Amino acid sequence: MKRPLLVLALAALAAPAHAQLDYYGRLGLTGSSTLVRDVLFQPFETKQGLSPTLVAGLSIPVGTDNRLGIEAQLTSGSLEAETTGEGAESTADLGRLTTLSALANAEGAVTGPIRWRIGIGLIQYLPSEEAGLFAQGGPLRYFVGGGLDFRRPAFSSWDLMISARYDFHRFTTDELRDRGFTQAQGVQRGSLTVGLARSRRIAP
Amino acid sequence: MTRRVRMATLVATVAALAGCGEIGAPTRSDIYEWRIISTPDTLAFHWPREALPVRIWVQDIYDLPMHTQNAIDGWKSGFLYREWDAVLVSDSLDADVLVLSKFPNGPTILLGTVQECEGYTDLALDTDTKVLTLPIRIYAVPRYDPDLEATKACFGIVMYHEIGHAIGIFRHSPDPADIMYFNPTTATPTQRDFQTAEVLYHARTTVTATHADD
Repeated sequence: MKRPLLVLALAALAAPAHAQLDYYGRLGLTGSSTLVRDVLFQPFETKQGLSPTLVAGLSIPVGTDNRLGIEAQLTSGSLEAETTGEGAESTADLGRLTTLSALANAEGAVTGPIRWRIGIGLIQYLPSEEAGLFAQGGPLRYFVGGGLDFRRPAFSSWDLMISARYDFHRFTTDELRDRGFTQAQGVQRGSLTVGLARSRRIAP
Repeated sequence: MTRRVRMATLVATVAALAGCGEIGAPTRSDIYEWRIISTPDTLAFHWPREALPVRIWVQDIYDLPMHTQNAIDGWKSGFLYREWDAVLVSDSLDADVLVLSKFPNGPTILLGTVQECEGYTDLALDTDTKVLTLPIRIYAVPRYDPDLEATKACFGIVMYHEIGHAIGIFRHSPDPADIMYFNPTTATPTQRDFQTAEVLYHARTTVTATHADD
C-alpha cells in the first residue's frame, strides 16, 4: 500500500507554481451498492445509506487543454443490514460509516462547459465502532473512478461547479477474510455534488 | 472514434466487468443443535433487535461483574451484524437477566460444571405456551476456595457458558472443545460456538419472552 500512497503524494506535490492551481470544493450526496452479501437462512445485504458528501480538489495544467489533479472525498452515512428474503424483509442499523477517498485524476474538455475526469485512488473505510465486520478496523482499498464536471461563471473569481462521479472498488475486511469469506464484493458508488471552483480566468 | 472516447469506453468496460464480482459467504455448517426439541414442538429463542441491549444485573461477588462483562464482550465479537448486545445494569428490577451466586431453589434446565465451580441457567420456559418469562436467572457458585486462582478462572469459563445460554443456546454442545459443552475446559467460545450463535440469530424463533410483571 505504500507505493500508491507515494504516487498520490507526489501527484499532489507536483504543482509547479501556485498561480497555476485550480481548486474547488463541493457538497452533495453519494449512494453505494452492497458491501457484503450474506446468507443465513435468508439472504441479506449490508450497505451504506445515502451519504452526505464533501469534496475538495485541485489540479494543475498539463498541455494545452488537459489537467492533472487530486480530489479528496469524505462521505458519512448509516450502515445498514437489510434482510431481503421473501416475507422476512427487515433493516438493522449497524451504526455510522465514514469513507475518505483520494482520486489522482486527469481531466480534459468534452464540449463547452463540460469536462471529463478519470483516475485511480485509494478509499479508507472509517467505521464508528470497531465491531462486527469492521472488528479489525476499516480497510484501505484501491478504486477507479471518473465523471463529468459542469462549470459556469458564478462570481467574479469563482465558477459554479456541478459534478457527477462514479467509482468502483472491491470491498472486504480482515474480519470477513478471517471468518471464511472469499474474494471481495464489487462496490459501485455514484455521487452528485455542487460547489464552487476557482475560475481559471483570473489565474496569472 | 476519438482517442478520448476510446479511453472512456475502456474505463467503463473495465468497471462494468469488475462490478460482476461478488464476495463469497461461508456456509457456517459447523454448528450444533441449540434448540430444545419438545415433541412435537421445537423451542427456539433469540432476543429480538428491539430488546437489545439485553440488560444484565450481576451480584457483586467473586468478580462476577468483570467475568460477565468479559463474556458479553466475547460473545458480541462473534456477531458480524450486531445481532446481539448486552449491558450491565445497576437495578435488578430492570434486568432481563440476573446473575446470582447461590444455588437455585428449584429445578433448572441447564447446568454447566467445571471442576472448581458450577453454573446454572434457569429458564422459566413454558413449553405449552412457548413463553419465556423473564428474567433469566444465572447462578454461579464456587466448589473450591473462591480465592484460588483456579476458581477465579473457573468463574470466567462458567460465565461465558451461562451467558451463551442467555443468548439463546438452550442446549449443550456435544464437543468437549466448545465453551457450550456441559463441562467446558476452553476459556472462550470456539468458532463452532460463534457460528452456532450467528446461525440461531437468523433462524426462526418459536419462543417469545415477556417480563413476569408485564
